[in-house]
Amino acid sequence: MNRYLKLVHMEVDRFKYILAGLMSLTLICQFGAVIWWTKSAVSNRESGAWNNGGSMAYSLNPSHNGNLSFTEVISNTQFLFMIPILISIGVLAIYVFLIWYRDWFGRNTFIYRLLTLPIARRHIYFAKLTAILLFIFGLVSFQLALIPVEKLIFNLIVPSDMRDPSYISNSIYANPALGMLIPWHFDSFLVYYVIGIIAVLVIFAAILIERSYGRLGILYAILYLGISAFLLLFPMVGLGLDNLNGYLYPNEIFAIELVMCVAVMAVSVWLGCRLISKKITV
Amino acid sequence: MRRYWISIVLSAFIVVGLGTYYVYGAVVDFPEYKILKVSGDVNEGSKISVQGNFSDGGGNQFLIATAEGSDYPSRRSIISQIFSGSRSWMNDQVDIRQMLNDHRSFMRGKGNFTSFYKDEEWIIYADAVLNNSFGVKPEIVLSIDTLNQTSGVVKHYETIVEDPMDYSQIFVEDVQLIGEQIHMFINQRSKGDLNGSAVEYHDYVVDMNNGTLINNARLTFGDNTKDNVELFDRSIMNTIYSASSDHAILIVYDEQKRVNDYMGIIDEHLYSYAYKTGVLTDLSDTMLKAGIDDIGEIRLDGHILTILNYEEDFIKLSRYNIDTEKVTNEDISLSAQQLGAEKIIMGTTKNNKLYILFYKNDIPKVAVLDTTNGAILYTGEVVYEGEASESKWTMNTEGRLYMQIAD
Repeated sequence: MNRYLKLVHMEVDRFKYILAGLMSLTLICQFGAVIWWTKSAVSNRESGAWNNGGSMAYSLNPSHNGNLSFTEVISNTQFLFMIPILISIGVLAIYVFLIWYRDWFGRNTFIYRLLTLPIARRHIYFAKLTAILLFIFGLVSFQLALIPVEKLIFNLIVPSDMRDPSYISNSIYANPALGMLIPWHFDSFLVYYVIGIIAVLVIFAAILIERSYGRLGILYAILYLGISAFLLLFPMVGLGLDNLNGYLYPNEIFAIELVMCVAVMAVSVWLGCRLISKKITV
Repeated sequence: MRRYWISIVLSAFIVVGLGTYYVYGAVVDFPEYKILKVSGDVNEGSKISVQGNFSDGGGNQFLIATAEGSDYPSRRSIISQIFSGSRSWMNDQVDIRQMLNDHRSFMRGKGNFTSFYKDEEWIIYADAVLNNSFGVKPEIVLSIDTLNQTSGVVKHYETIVEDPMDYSQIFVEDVQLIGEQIHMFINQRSKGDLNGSAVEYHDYVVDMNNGTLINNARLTFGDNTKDNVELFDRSIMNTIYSASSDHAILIVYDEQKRVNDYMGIIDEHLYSYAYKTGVLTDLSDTMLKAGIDDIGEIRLDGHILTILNYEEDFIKLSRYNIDTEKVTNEDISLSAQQLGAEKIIMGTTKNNKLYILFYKNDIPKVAVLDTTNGAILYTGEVVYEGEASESKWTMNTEGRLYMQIAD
């Protein structure tokens, strides 16, 4: 256990600068967007331009009295909020591959040292998986922590008589990307992130297949990715969920989908552990 | 330990951040709206749901308010959106819901709720499939499943109807059992022509003992020989789809031929088709004599037609007996002023009750009236239930407000 945790820490340590960079980018973009938009909106109202229809964006304000709400800020700065989120998703998606390939193709072929460590090799697999999850949930938590601070900044800029109250929950849903990232219902959160974890496990298995079987491995890996995608998607699209006369009831299709998810997950973990333990040689 | 601080801080940050958010989410919900009783019997308002929008700067959020509280469909969990939301039309009908509970095996693969018939003894599902593949002689396959509720015996018949007409689609509007004959009331639309004159209604009569086609009656209605006139139709079936009914109702509009997409209604006729006799009767004149000059929103409950007309400033309800060709009871007619409304938004009827949605001072309000005597049984209003500091929120009456009545 101790060795596994050390490996996790090692992976976190190797990614810390990129993670800090992504967090900084998120902070700068979102704080900047909130401050810039709120200040413009306040000065627009104070100068009276809002009443005269001076700015299109503000004249479309849904509030009857012209007051500002934090939800309105989030709604009007969607693009600037989404940029760091999309960049973070992209970087993490690439790093799911790099976390393995940098060990093989990095300067010192680090994988030789990892695989010769006197520990069960499955620890390497689980440490990389844990590290990826820590990066994902770390960024999500960081985004969660930013929102109350952004609301505080909004409250500091906007005079109280110019403010309308707003729910944090409603503010989050004013931006579709935030709504997807941190859904209000915990079961939606589980669904989104379990699907993401399954995708990571399948890709890990595909990478290890490729590493185990050389050139032929590329074909096997693509085949494995295809079969997994088919098994996961088939219950949803092939069993007539929305078909008027579908033979299976929706709850039965849900049960089949659940079984498929568990099966793909279990097979991917088993395959990954087996390949790294028995097949990959240095 | 100090060398691991990054991993420890990151893990703690995740646990605290996500934990706080979802614990907070479990205790704090979205703005709560409720239908609160103003007067009358609170039970009468328990089936009403008012759909509207809640506005909080960042656009409108669709919400449904009931006497219990409010629901935000867009924020339902993803599992309930995908799985409970699919085929929800089946669960929306009280009769179908009951059949799904009682006869799960028989109901498998049966999704067209207008294809059901149910009485004390029988449940029948009769569907029609159009077989018009290229190079194949066009035919309609009548597929019938019967379940005897007493014996539990299930039977299946398929009857082929050869029809030279090349239809693009067919749709089962109603299924009835008269004696031992299953009546399938089917709407058949010809290929390549969307105007009303290309629509046919057929009453296929099938022997329930052996699936033999006894009769195929094509209903003839309207006059499609007039110049510059097209016929358009819509059918009105029994409010409870699977319940037995002696009649089917057709409304046929004479409309000006399409010019720049504008179509003006020249005339409209209301026909009643009697399954027992096969007679199609034009009710327009007798209804006019009975004082019904506008057929507005219409519902069929057995042999009673309920005709509801409303505008922003009035609402009027008439009940017409198809068998006696007379109105039953007095009309119920109310002005917005009598209701205390700024604007009447909509009305609907169900189970001998008239439900009215209106608003005053930006507050959506509802009223329930007894359709037999016009007595007001209940009035209520949609109110925000929250802290006083947040009372600026009201349900947006400028957006689309709608009302639904649960079974």
